[in-house]
Amino acid sequence: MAEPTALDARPKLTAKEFKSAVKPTWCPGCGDFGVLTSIYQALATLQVDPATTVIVSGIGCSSRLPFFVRTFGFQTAHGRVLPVAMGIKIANPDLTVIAVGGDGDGFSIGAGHLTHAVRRNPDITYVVMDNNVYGLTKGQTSPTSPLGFKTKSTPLGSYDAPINPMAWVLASGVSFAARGFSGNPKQIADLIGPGRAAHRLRFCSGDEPLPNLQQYL
Amino acid sequence: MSPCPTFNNTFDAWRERVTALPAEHDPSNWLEALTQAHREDAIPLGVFYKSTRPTLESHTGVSPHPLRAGGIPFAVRTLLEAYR
Repeated sequence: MAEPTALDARPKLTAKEFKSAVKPTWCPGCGDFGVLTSIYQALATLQVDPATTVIVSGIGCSSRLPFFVRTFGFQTAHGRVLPVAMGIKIANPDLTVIAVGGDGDGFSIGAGHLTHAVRRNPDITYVVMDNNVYGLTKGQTSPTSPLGFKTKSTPLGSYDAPINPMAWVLASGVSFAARGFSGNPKQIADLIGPGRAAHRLRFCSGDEPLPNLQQYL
Repeated sequence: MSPCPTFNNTFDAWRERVTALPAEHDPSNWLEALTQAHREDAIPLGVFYKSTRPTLESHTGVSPHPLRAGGIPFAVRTLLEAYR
């Protein structure tokens, strides 16, 4: 049997080569296309090995993202993306673990996990695609919908004030928090890619260990 | 932030409101990050905060004993033995 090729000796992977054979099922013009593009770009920038990378998600439109990337993927139960991502990282810390999802998955049914995942501070990246609405179930208010937001579930407008996810994770003690806009995928790729690489580099060089639960909201 | 064009199209509204974090923003300043998170005049983008907290793997010792390498770590096995 041939010796496995060292990653450094392999041909460089381009962003395009991280695309899977599955075509995205999102609506035309969906912001998640921008985030997906930035994830392809970030993976290529970091030159991660698809064989040691896992993208984990919960349920929702944005939680379909792992299907579209040529790495390992794990779509979990609704709201459970962070516990599963942490379990994967603890079982095999050598893996690159990226958790993805939307505002419903992360801030509603999965809300309890967020604060505690932040407290534990595992070395994973969590990308939240926040659109202030439940899209998969055809448009109901989400935890980040504005006050007075009218949908079929709130015909008189939402009575609940929206949460502020950035303030939430900061208050929970997050070690890295950033925000980008899918209208500018390059910025998101920079936040996920080189930003994370810089941390890893410092981690490897023996400095004080850096971050962990990263957020892009 | 990733708008939904079908059920809540905020592309144009957000595009008008997004702005870079101030050039002088210091990501090690937690209080300033919180202030930026609560801004109402605009939606700031960029790295709000970063700290040097140790990771879960670095302070719990999971790294030297990944489950794939030999089953249950010794310390955990000792605890389990106490219940036999």
